[in-house]
Amino acid sequence: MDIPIVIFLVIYSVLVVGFLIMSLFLVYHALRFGQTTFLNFFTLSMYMVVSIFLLTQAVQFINTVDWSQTINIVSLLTSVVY
Amino acid sequence: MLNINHLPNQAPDEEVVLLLRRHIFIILREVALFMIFAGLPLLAWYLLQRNLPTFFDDDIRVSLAILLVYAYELYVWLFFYRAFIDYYLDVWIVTNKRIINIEQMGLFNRRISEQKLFRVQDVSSSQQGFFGTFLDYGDVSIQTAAEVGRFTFEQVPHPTQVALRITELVEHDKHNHPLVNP
Repeated sequence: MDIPIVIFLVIYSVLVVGFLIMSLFLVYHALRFGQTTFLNFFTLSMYMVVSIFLLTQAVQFINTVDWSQTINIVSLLTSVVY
Repeated sequence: MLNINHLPNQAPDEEVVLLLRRHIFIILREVALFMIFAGLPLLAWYLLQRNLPTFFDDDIRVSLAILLVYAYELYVWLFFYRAFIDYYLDVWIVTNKRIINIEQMGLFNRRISEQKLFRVQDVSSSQQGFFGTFLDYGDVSIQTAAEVGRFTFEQVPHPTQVALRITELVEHDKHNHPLVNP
């Protein structure tokens, strides 16, 4: 059974949207309820920088893949195991 | 944002005496745990190369595995920051007039309660476990006469000294308070 691999890209996109929504809540909490300290701003900046790094790396990788290909799910599993 | 020099409803002669969070070991333990989780894909990659090298014969399969790793690392990072926020936003503030208990429970629950020092009836501390005893952290329980009966400062550093300091502040406040000493 062949399925287009773009489905995995869609699933990844949904996960990224979930990540962004939860990040929004966390950043709101840090800014709304956190203290006005260096530690708070430093950790918040670190979180943003690492998140942006991970997302841009993923986007760069996604651009290198031909997402119009298909994959056979049955052979995918069996060829790995056997 | 919470400014420690400008507490909500702060009295003119009110001063912050103690600002407490959980012991730093608690968050360092989380950091270690998340570093292990973040490193798991590397271990999986190594084990696949060693035991199942045919996995890497198919470019599509490798691409999907890399995409999975990106999603995994993103969520490890998210849950790590969430753990930090949970640690950082739990604060116990003791002033010379009152005790303020700020607790963040998950993303959507936040509880703030306060109690006047002269209402405190009993202060006790406890340390449990190897790390608690070795690193000197534990719980401080404060029993009050109000509806919010008991405050517990969880896993704070030097609990015995904290309990003693609060007892001193309570005695001092009761001595000077017009309701207790008219």
